[in-house]
Amino acid sequence: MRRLPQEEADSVLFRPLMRSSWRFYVAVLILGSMVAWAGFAWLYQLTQGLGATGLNRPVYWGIYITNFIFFIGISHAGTLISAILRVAHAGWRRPITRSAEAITVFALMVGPINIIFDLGRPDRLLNVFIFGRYQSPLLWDVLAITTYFTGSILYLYLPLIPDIAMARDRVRPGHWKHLLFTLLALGWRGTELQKKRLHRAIGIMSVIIIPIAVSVHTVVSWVLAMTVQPMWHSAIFGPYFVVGAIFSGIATLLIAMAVLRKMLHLEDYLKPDHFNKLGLLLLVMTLLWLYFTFSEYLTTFYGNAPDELSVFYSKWHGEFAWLFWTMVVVTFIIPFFILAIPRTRTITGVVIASILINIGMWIERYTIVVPTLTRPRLPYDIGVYLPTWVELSITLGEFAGLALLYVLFTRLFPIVSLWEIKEGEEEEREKAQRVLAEPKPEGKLAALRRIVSG
Amino acid sequence: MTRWGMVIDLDKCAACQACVVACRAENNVAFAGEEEAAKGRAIFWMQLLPVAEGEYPRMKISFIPVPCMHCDNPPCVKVCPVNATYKNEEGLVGQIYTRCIGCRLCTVACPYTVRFFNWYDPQWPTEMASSLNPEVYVRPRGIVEKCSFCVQRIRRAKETAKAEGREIRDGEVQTACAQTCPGHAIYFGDLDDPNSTVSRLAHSGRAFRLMEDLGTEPKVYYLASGEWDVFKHPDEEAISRRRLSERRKQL
Amino acid sequence: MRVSRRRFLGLAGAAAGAAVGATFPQALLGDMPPAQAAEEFLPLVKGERQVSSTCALCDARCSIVARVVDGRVVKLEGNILAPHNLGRLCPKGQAGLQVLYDPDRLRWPMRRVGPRGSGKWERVSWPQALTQVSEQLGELRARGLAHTVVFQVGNGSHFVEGLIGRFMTAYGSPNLVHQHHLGAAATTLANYFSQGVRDFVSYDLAHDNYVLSFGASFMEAWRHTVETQRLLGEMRRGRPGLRAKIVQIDPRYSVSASKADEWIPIHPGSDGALALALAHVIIAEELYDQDFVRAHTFGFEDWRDKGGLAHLGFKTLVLRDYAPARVERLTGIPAATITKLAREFATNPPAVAISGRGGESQTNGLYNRLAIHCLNALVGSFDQPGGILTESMPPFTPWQPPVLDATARAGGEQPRLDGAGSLQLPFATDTSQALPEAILRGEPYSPQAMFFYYSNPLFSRPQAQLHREALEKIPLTVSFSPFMDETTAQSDLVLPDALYLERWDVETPPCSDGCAILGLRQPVVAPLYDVASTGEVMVRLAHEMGGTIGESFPWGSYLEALQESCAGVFLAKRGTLQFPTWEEFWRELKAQGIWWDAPPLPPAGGPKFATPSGKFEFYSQALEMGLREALARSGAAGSQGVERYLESLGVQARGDEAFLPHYEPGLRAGEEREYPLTLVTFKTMTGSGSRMANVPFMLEIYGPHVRKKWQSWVEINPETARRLGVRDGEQVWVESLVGRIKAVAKLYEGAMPEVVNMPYGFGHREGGRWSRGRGANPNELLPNIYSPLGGNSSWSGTRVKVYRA
Repeated sequence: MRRLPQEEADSVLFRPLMRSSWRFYVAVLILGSMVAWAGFAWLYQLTQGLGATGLNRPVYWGIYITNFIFFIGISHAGTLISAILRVAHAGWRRPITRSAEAITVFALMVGPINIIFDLGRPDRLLNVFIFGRYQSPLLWDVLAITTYFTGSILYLYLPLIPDIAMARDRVRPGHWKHLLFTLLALGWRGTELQKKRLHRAIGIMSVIIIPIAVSVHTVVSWVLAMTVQPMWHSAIFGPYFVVGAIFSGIATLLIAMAVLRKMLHLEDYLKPDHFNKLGLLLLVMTLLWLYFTFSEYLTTFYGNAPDELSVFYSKWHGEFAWLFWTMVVVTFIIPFFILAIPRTRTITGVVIASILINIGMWIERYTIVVPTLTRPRLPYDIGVYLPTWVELSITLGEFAGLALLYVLFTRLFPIVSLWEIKEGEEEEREKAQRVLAEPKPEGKLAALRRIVSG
Repeated sequence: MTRWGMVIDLDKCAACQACVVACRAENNVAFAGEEEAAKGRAIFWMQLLPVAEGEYPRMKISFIPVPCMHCDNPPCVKVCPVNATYKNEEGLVGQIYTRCIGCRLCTVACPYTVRFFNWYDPQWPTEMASSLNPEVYVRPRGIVEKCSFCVQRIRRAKETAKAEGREIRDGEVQTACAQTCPGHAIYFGDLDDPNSTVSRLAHSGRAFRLMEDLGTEPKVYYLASGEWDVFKHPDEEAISRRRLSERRKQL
Repeated sequence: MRVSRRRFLGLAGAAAGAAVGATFPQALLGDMPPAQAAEEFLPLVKGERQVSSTCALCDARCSIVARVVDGRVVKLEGNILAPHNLGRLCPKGQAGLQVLYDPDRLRWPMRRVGPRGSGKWERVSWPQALTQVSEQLGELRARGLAHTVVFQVGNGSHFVEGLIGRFMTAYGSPNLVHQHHLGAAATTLANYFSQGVRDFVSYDLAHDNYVLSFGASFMEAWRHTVETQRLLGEMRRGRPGLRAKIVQIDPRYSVSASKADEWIPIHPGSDGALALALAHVIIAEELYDQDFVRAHTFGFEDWRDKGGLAHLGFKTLVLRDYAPARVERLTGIPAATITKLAREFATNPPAVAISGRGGESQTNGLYNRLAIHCLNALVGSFDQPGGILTESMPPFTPWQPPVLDATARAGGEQPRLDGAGSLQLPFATDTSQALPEAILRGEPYSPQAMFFYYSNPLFSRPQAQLHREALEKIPLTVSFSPFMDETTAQSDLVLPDALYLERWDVETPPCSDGCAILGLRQPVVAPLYDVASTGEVMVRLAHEMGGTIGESFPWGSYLEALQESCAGVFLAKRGTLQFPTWEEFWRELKAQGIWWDAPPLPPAGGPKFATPSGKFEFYSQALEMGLREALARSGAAGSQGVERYLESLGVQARGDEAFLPHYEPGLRAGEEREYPLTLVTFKTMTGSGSRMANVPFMLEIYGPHVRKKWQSWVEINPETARRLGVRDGEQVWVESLVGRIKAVAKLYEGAMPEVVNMPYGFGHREGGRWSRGRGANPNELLPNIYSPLGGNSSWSGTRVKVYRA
């Protein structure tokens, strides 16, 4: 049996932690200045008031709320996917869970900030805790998101511990990173007891985190759905948003994986098969998303309620039609064919589909939030909304901020869960040896040998 | 218990917008200016909504004065995360300016779109600031505001009534819009008092409320426009012709 | 969590007490106890003052009560004691605070230091300013040019107007020129020709069952608008079981039309034809009030004069020429509709036909109004409930006549510069629109000085640009305007008037039931700046000039003059204020702000008319006699002369028809081929001339029917717009023979296909921060044409073309 040059492979994972390339600095510089610009835009908005945005009456909400929903959506990339796959014991998940969980944490750092951007009086934010009313969907959001955030950090952190310990052992003592890793490793030495406890903790977390994740995007949708407004007040909104969230989450994960693979040379860990499998999952989500969208719109159309229809038509052939149909094309039509045809379900194909899907899902959030507001029930003037440079700068800054956090994370922690891969290999080997021990037909044996030898 | 409500008789409303201006003057609602108004950012606690239908020459515009409906089941109060908007025991849907965080969940939840947001600090030229009502806050930017049913006038009437050791009389409290309405089309008073004007009008056959189907139970009632019809049977025509000379003599 | 626990405990109480609002589970969501924050409300004010006064922002002159806190006016309300506005105010009245506290008000007297219109001024003191004016006037007078001084006045104050007129008479000039006859001349003159009252009349709408409005913006800009708005409710909801029908006949769907039960679009200016067709049906079907017509009208049937000459009767004329089928094409109204309207109008007494700018503001306005007014005679709606009543005045003390010296007498005998009352304008009392041509021609003489009080001809007259040219020829121009309007900007001296909330005045507001009203205007606050009431300035100017002029003003101050007038009301001991002493009367008048007396009773023995026949005249003898007298004064006479005279006055009818209500088309400026559309200009509730131009509260709600604010618009029928390739919201040029202006196109189903409509109030070239350079002024499109017979301008008789800018 030929063994993998394990040390060499691991060093690929730890290399970014030890040494930064010029590309890292360029990336940080670009992303950092975008974030700084967004910060300036926000300061400007703070001094001017929300008048600096394109919001108005009746379009009281715009792309801040769109971003909020979008980023909370992609936060489902991670925790939920990794948890579901963990619970389902899908072995192929091992190299991708970490990068997925990181997305969750960072998206949850970026998304809710939008609420602060959107607040007229961010200085009174604490009123939410002082005078908070649990009947308000906004408070449900606060509750669900903080829980989810806490859970996700834990869920990211727990499987990180063995890897941090490994990193600790690789850093020269006295370096600040050594101190950091020592602290974070919580004295991990990889004893059987520690392993048992870690497994148990991860197991519990992965079960708990699933309903929390589902609840988060459900209550996000309820902020809209709990009002009586046309095309918001829909019972389907909870699951619809969750499906959309997982959908865009997987897409985001795929983009992140592709970037990591390329930039950090993780070709050995993030293999075409991962993209293939996640691509198939994405295909399922595309269909599921279409199904929900179709149900939602057909119900509205068929019901023929005037208030609902006026919103519906604004999307069908009104001023939002170009957005709506772009959304349909980029979230469904193109991705469906790319993902359904095996020949195009390559890494490149899947990544293209993912990028399109994320664009489409952002548009979907936008066309859920804004058109309803442009069509007040009473015959006021139809609302017109054009985001200003402030909102656009902040939005770009958010994307940059997410990327920046991610880049920094990859410099501090291994982005692939090394110990889990190793553990997986161990398991596979054990399984294979068990199988080998049993009498089997020749062909199957040969196949198993191939597995064992890597 | 008093339950404040308003009745607006559309048959008497002259669509003059005196209510709109009176409200702005009473409640320190700043004008928005051309640019901001064009963006839809002008604040009108009371506004005149034109509803146009039909084509030339069968064209019809109905004008509806729209204040806050002070719903008994207010969708805005439900969703407020900080209790900045509330319904009090007299049915007023109030707004606590010092508490509102400006999330605008109430503004999007209100099916009547009668909640307004201060996009900027109000701009009053120094000279005009002299005419501000000292009993009403000038709202800063970043918070939501709305028709208060002229709560300061209610408070004053209560104080007066208390000093005189009596109950508030029907018609004693007049909101700024009701007080100025040249058509005498706006009534304000206690819906729970069966003898009050608003209570009697609210039970009129012409009474309706906006979007009653939403279950918001608005406390602003409208009285529908009447109709003048002379669709007579030819036989009636002849009789009325004969009656005509009689009526002239009476006049 | 501490907070949620508190909330939770509080909730139990709320749910229990929520029987009124929502049911139990719903109450969990919304019915929270009032979370009163200590700082939720501001403390209530102690020690405010309520000061009664009179509004001046339109001609309705509502009585007001100002709420004054710490010397600041914080709110205006209607005065509940007033019989006309009954405690109510219109949006303009409510926005008075923004007129008073307009940051762009003129703050002190100013003298021009740069060229005219350069905007360069220096502040002068009042004594300096008065000395300058009195010296210059004195010099003109000494040179025998007293008559060349012209004083243009608008609808500012009748009382101050009286003082100005007195000053002009004592000074020696016939040229006190009112501007309010620009549009209303046709109305008042027709009232005179038909019922002998040279004034507006009152309509007792409260008791009407049917109102035919010929272009009267009765809900927006009619005479006593606030009262009419109340009467709308009276007509509809004021009487158990009765609901009046209101029909609006108007080329455009106005707010008034929206409040009517039926809107009848009509070709602009053809109102007279419609009225006569209605009369045709009413007469042909014998639906008219035969008793009234027999007893109280003149010229209904064919008749013979004293000389035995046969004359055409109204009945014959109408039956001959105005069958609905013939009028259908003229008016654009189907014959069946005309018949229906006529039957409804005649069979639902009391009924009135009212009119306004729409029908009257054309060169044929006089005859239109005469025709419309005849409908009232046909249904006998005079001096009875629901009919036409004459207005009455408070019993003011008449002033002693002014003292005239030889110069004053000589000057007073000079012809008026505006030609009013001359052979060319026989019936006009004031023709301010004729001034520019007279000035530019220098005939009959060149004016040496011109004063403006509540008058802004450079903005508010047809072809306003003419007035600018004319003004350049005048050596001295003085404006009393409180605002920097177009005319003031071209003046040499500005003597800013105090605003209505800062000065004394008496007003005589109109009232629908003809009751006499005295509205006292008293300073609600002291003048905010160094401004002075023009009345006060006139008294001081007269004193400064001395001689007979000074003697003509025997009062120590303006207030003294005012009190002398009011003394008559005190002495009459009638009406709402009757007190043994003047002091008590005056104190109460100040406290209440208003005096009024019950409306005059209908005269015994039926209606009385001050016409030559003592009856309502279908055939106007006053018109005929007036023409003959004018001819006689000028030396020409004879019936042949009258025919030619009629021609020179632009009347197309000849013979008896000229003295009877008849229809003749008004003048249209511009060829139909080149200018296919007719421009109709209109006023909204929110606009009131230059004095309200700079009021943000008004600008922000300007045109509710088309949701327009802060800018002018032109209403175009969508079908017409499609033909012109114009889209909603686009900038378009509106061009006439005399000019073109840019405005935003508003596609409007309430516009007739061949008519475009533009509002007044925008297009100021001068003024405050909000009015200046905003929108377009349709007056710049109107050629300066007016009816020689009536003296009224043509406001809706201009052809235009519209194209994309």
